[in-house]
Amino acid sequence: MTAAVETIRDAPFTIGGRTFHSRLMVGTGKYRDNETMVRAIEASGAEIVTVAVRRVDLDRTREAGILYHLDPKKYFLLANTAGCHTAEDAVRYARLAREGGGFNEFIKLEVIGDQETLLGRSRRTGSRYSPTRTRTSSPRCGSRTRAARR
Amino acid sequence: MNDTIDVTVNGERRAVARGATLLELLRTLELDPRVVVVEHNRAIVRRPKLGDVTVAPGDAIELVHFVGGG
Repeated sequence: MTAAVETIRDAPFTIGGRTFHSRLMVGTGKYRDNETMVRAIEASGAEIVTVAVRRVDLDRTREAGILYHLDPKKYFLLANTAGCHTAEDAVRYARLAREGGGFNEFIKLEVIGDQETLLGRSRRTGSRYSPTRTRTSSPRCGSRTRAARR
Repeated sequence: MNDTIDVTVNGERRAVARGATLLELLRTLELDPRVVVVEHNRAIVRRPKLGDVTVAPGDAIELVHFVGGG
């Protein structure tokens, strides 16, 4: 029931020295529950699965992370910066994900523009970022409520 | 002598035990060090080092993890 569809096989393709056998990249957001997510991802046959790096909500520490449900050895986890609203925060969180998460060297860099559709801000995502610039205010990554109020 | 110090965790002021390490801070917050990435004063501290780094007054600590999304 949850077995991958064996009949569909893409020609292997290589990105950055890594070869994949499925061109389908799937996300992990907006599922009804984790069990449904795990079964859907398994059935999709996708190898690349995107996960979001977010600030831990200290008031809701019971919220379990995605790593309790997805095995980084089984899937190629592609960390993304969904939830970041500025280029600076996106780059900062991308580094945290890459160096701290330790899955792989891939990052899906994005800056969220619209909280409802989660469409990106392509200008900011593509903007030149100076690592010497610093922010003094707290980053808004993971603070969906604040963004939603704007 | 006060036995707690003030640090900033994810933008919020928090009192932690003087001499606490980052690993102890995670335990206090009931966070699993295996799934949390720790940034200490803008520097990433890798998991094996969390027990070696002691927090000091005014330190800024950022805790992130991986969740569904994207």
